[in-house]
Amino acid sequence: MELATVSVDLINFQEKKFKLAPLIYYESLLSSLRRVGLISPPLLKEEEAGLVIVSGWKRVLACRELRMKTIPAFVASSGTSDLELLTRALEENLYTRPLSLAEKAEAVDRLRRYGLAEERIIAEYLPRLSLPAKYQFFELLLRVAESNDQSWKEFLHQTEVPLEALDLLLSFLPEERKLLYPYLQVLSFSRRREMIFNLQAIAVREKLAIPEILKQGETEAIYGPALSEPRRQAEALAQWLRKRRYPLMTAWEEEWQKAKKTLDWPEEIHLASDPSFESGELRVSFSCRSAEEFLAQLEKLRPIALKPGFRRLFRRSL
Amino acid sequence: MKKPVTALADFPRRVFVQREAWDYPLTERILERLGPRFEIIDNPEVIREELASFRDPIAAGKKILYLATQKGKFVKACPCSSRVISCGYFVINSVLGCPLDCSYCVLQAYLSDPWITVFVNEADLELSLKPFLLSAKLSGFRVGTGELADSLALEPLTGQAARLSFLFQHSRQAILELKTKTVFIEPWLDLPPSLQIVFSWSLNAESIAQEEEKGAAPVVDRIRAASQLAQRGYGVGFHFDPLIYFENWEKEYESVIRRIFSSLAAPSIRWISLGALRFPVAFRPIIRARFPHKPIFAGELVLGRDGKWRYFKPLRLKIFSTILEMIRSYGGENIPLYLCMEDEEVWQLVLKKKPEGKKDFRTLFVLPVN
Repeated sequence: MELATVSVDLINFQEKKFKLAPLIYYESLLSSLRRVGLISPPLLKEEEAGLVIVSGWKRVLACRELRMKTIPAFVASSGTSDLELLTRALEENLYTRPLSLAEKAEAVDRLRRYGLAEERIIAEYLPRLSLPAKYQFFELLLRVAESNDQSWKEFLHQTEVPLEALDLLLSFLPEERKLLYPYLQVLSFSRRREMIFNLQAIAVREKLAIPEILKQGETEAIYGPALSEPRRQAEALAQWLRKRRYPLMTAWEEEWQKAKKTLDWPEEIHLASDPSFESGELRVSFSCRSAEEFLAQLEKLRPIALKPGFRRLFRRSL
Repeated sequence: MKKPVTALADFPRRVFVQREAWDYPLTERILERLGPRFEIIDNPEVIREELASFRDPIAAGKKILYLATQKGKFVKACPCSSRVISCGYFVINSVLGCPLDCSYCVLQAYLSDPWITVFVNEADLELSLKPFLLSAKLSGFRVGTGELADSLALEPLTGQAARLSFLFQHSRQAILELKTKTVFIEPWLDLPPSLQIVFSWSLNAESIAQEEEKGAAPVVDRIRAASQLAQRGYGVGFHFDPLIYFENWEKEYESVIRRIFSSLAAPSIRWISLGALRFPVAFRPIIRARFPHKPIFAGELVLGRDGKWRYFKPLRLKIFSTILEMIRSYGGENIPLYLCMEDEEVWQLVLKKKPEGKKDFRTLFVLPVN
């Protein structure tokens, strides 16, 4: 492998056998290239149909965009195996940034296609990709890579999905998944995960398809004009799904909040129940800087504790 | 011996023998029954590596039998949960794992390896049971093989339960519980009964049993087996565990309870336990991998402070109270009843009492009713 100056025209952009990312954004690189040029040469492979990009797709595309005629690049001879080059590209990527699930899936699929034994991929590469060294994850990634649904891969490239939710999302039909992308993309990681699990549980429990759940009468308000902002819409949908998934507990929570409201509870004193209501304990906390302040807070609580509504906070059975 | 049925029909597919376990009589007896297809290994890493390539290592592991020697303690206190009332049970760790494949079984997460291990050093087991057998101070003390395994699922192969029950016939106080979902009761049909041996069955609604308890005997057969042993004078127990909340739960559980009391005389029932579906956090990924579309796991389960998922507490109270009422109304007013892995509050609200300590708990099981 040698460092050479290569003509951009000789690069075969159609050959994507080493390209892992389904989407490439290089706009942010343009200004840097204009200022200082290409600092880190990409890796290319000599082939009959031209030079193939092994790693550095962003850089090469940005250089082409800037109409550079030639660029510095490391060039591997045609005799170098695809497997060897892929593993180099992978190492380079892993060194610089975390890979998306879509890229991990492509990496695993190609390692296998270029001849690496399944056992080695599982034992050596899954941990390198921050995944458990288990067959089930290997198989899961292959299912992602083998999908023809480009929008699915793009979604997985842009949106971090918990591994345990990936299997569930894969069990949804492509049309079902597409309905969810706009909501999942704007939610936080934990909320996204919660939404996927709640949807799946509702689907299983109520024997409904995802679109049927999303088109329930109660969801009209979520999609209506009042909540036009995507994030607010997604939050409202997540909330509605949680309520549907945990009807008893959310009703309990609402009642508890209602009961608390009737008490005119002082804002500066924190009151909390066990989130799962497993224990009947209430937690009351406040801060104070003197015995007088402490007693003053207690004085505020005393009349509240005598209100009939206070006892409702301790309700324990249906 | 009758041809093995249900889960044992294709068990084991592979047999591994730890080199150290080779010379034991139980190894010889088991291998005699299984024939010459086995591999001798130095440690189970070989099995672990083999299973790593399976999409479902747990299902694959359930077809593997590993004969080994127990290096740790054979008898241990039942691993309960924090913040709950322990029933003071003791577990005999002579077998780890179960060839039945119940979707809700926490052994899938609890045991570090998915295969079935039979510990063949019976003499050591017997030695460790001696203090329990000889002590006169252990009234109501229960010990069983049915926590980390099914007590009778491997009986046609190992004969271990028969051997244990022979020992416990001479127990002064301690009670051996053989807990199962199978009907391998033949060895006991012609033996004189003993108060120190109780056969118990885990029961569930028939539709749940059919859907979730792969390889187990139908519920009606389990009750029939219990009835057969009860008629011969043995004490029997039932465990409604895990109780599942589903569309027809009341109707289906009532049908099982009605069947119990129409098949057995209440005094032959030594105890009944109730436990609602629950599982540790580590079990979730297993459900997602193995049973993502099972409605039983889509119920209103919430994460409690002890790190276990359970039904929302008010729902559990409703389930327990309903089942308790059914048991009482069908003739089980005097049968000792207890809750598995529930806290003081649930005990108080459901049973209107709570044991003050393990000793108090044991009084529940001292003597058969009547």
